[in-house]
Amino acid sequence: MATKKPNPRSRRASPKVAQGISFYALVPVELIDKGDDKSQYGNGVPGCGMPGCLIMCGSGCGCLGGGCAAPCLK
Amino acid sequence: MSVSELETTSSGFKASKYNFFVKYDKDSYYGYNFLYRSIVRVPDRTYPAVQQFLTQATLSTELDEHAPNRNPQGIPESLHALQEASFIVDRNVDEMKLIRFRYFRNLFANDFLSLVVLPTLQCNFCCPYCFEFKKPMAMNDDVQGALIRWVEKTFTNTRRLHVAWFGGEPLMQKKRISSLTEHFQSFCTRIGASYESSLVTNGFLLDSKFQQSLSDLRIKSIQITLDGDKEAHDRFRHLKNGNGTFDRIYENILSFCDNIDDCTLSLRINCGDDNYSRIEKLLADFPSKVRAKVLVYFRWIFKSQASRYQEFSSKARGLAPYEGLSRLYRAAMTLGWRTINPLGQFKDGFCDMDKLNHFQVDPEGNVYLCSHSYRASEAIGSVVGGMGTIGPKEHNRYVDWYAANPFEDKKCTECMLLPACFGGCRKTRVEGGPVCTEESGAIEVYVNDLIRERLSKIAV
Repeated sequence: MATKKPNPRSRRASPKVAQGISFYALVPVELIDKGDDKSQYGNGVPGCGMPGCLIMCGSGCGCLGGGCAAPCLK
Repeated sequence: MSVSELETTSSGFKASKYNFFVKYDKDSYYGYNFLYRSIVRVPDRTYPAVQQFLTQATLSTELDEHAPNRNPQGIPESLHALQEASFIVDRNVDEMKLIRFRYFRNLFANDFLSLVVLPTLQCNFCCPYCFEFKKPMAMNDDVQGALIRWVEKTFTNTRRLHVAWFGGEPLMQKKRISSLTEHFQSFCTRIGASYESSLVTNGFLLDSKFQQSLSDLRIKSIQITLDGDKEAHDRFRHLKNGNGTFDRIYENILSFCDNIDDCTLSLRINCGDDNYSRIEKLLADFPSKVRAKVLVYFRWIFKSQASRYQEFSSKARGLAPYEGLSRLYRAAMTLGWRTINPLGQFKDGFCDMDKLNHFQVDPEGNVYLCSHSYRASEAIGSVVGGMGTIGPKEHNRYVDWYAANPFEDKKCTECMLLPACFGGCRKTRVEGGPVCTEESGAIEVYVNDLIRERLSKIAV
């Protein structure tokens, strides 16, 4: 899990990717399961606490269906 | 097998810090992302390129001529799945902040009330490793009334109420369960909240008559514990008079599978030195209809104060405790069982206790934050005395409980498993004990099992 910070110049000078691998010819990586794709956007439960959640903030601003970031309210 | 981390590139993407790849079969590697719980399959021949891409590739223009089929974000077509599964993410995503957000959102959500109610601390079994200090007591009408008054007064804003029936053996007090359910349902109807419950039982009294009441009681999930085949189970989990319990539990499970469709049944298998070798026989003893319907998971028997810190699993656990469990998970899956490793589920806390509005109430009305001993000295208050009278000592314990978190623990913040275990057992952390789960010592084996489990669900 070493963190590498390649110099962009040296990367261009020694482009292993460009020399050794053609992404065009690869057998594609296969998506099996997108998993918890709601993890960034609220948990699907109204009142989940996402910023802008009408139920959570109770502001009554009328953003329901418009400004709320949480898909559960759309 | 390997862990990938891609530095922020000149383009708009970076590799997620929580990708983990394992060699799965002769043709492929699988990648699992602990944060997004996503899975990709990488063909064997593609794997080196994926590793190179994730660790050092740039998605900038220099790849253009080699990847003409880029999507609008610049990802080569052959690697689109990495983006769809969030193995590569927008460079501006701060994954640690996302984990913190999910953790605290779950911990401090106040729209959900989770109660563990113990109608009794009595049990008809006499298991040597039990972690509870048993008392010959059951909840009476006065305590029930106080519990209901406390809930109705305190949690009028809740949107969901979940009650877990626990004990002792809760089914020794079926009438109490029925009576409390009636009140809880009525309360939820009045405030417009939803109501569900679950049940942790030894299974002995889960007869077909009670099974017919599950729907009315809104019991949606049940956990039963078995400790191996008949011989091993009856040695551990017998009645107080010494009579075995396996046959009756077995019949109850068969009956459940034949008659109940709107409730989930899971089997917890407690593993120890004396029963480890008998567990595969237990798994094989059940017919296929049970294996296809019931969820099974495995946990080592742990030491506890109530069982005088007696060791029940040290030999079988050995130096690689998860690998011992893994053998059982694989055996179960091979036999057609549905497995459920608690650490692989879609949740944002380690345990049900990781909730601000989670309380456990014993038959005397004492209120606890965690179910590990039910000694009155560990209570934070009582519904009988009113929960507004928490003293300074209990107040500090309450605050310490919710202030504890893994983000001040460097070992946790650097750990690949953080988005799965969220820092492990809260009680252990508060008490200064070791919090790492067994899975953390064998992540590659664990990920392999997790992928097998998820693939079996997808296949269904």
